[in-house]
Amino acid sequence: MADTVTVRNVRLVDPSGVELPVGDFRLNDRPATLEGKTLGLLENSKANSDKVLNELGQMLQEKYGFKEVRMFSKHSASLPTKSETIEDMLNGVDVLITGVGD
Amino acid sequence: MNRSDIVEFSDTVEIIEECYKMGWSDGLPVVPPVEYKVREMLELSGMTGEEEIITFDMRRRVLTSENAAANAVMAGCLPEYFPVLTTALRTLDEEKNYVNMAASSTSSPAVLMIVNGPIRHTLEMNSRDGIFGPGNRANACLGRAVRLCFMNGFEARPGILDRGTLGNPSKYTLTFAENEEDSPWEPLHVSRGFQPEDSCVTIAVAYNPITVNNAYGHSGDMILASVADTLKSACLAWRFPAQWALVFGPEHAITLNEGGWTRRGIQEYLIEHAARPQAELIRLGIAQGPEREGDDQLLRRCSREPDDIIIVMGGGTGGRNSAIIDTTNYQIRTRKIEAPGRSSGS
Repeated sequence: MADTVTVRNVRLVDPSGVELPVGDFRLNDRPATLEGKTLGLLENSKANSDKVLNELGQMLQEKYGFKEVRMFSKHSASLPTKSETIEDMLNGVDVLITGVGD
Repeated sequence: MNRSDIVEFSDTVEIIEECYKMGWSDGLPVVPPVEYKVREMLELSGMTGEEEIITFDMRRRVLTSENAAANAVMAGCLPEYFPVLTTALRTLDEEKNYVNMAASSTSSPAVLMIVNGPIRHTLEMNSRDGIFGPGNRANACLGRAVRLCFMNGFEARPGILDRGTLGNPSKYTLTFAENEEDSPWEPLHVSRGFQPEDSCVTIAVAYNPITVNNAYGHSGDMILASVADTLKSACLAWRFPAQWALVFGPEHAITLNEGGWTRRGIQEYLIEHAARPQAELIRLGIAQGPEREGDDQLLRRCSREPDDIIIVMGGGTGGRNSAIIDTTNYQIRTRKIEAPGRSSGS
């Protein structure tokens, strides 16, 4: 029989990363109707993601009567969207769909 | 449980089970990150626990030296390993999109660490038989610590942030030392501008090593022809041009040296011979079409520059094996390991 060790009152250090501050934000209220609104689509720059989202945009425009569909792009699939793109979307669309393609 | 909470356990096995319950494992049992062990890790490197080592924008998380040390303890690292880990993490942080790739890509890359210089001996790292493992503590635990930092620090777990289609056994560890003493070529870090007495780690985002077992090619030309043939296979050629790590086993290295093959000569040979027409890659479905006129003549080569192919010697004698490691398009970096404090290099 090997030696046994009894450990009590052990303090474990959390290996999880520390959350960075995110600032104040909240989601907008959902619009009562989509008719006449501007739809934004954010494609992630992977091959053909723009084609898929373009097609989807047309379908949604026909179905819900969007006034306009605007396409936005990420500069890299693996990096967060640039803040200027986020600003453009914030100011230019009523509803946004972000697509993840691979 | 919050950070540094005190928890009562009846024995160490129970603590290991508690770590499983907390979701802190890569699947294997971990060494519980008890506070005094984490402190030892930090103190030897002269760190306070507050230093920011690597940030992960997609998760809005930062990994402090305390977090990293906790993961290092869990991986089984000794305190003297810690500067290698912090240097590696800080180096990865220099190219953010590849931090994300190593954490989450569907293609499932791992993190490659090649250690050079005197620290190989201090840490008793393996550069010989079974260089890719298993069996050596530093080789096994350092690589494991990097992955635990990703998993615990940034939630890079399968199906959550890590969307790797198949995963990758190298994600457990892909860390080794170069056998500088028996190599016919100058050590990797010296070829990249460092002094022989510097301790360095070379970092890449990489896939599993692919073994080239060439037992009957008794000339350097034959060995290199088989390496080039493997390198231009569909599983690797889709990334052309890219960066690569080649690990030549000692028997291949001896033959290459006898044939007068220098590091630069090998690099230039592979750029010349590991190439395929764009049209072939499109027909295989590993490059995006449609095929255009001239694609039959448009050669895509394995790398743009000789230094995009790094070459090291390692492994055991008795077999004639070498390996190709696909290191993605991450810019391979070599950094000096300095303890305590920050790394430096080029």
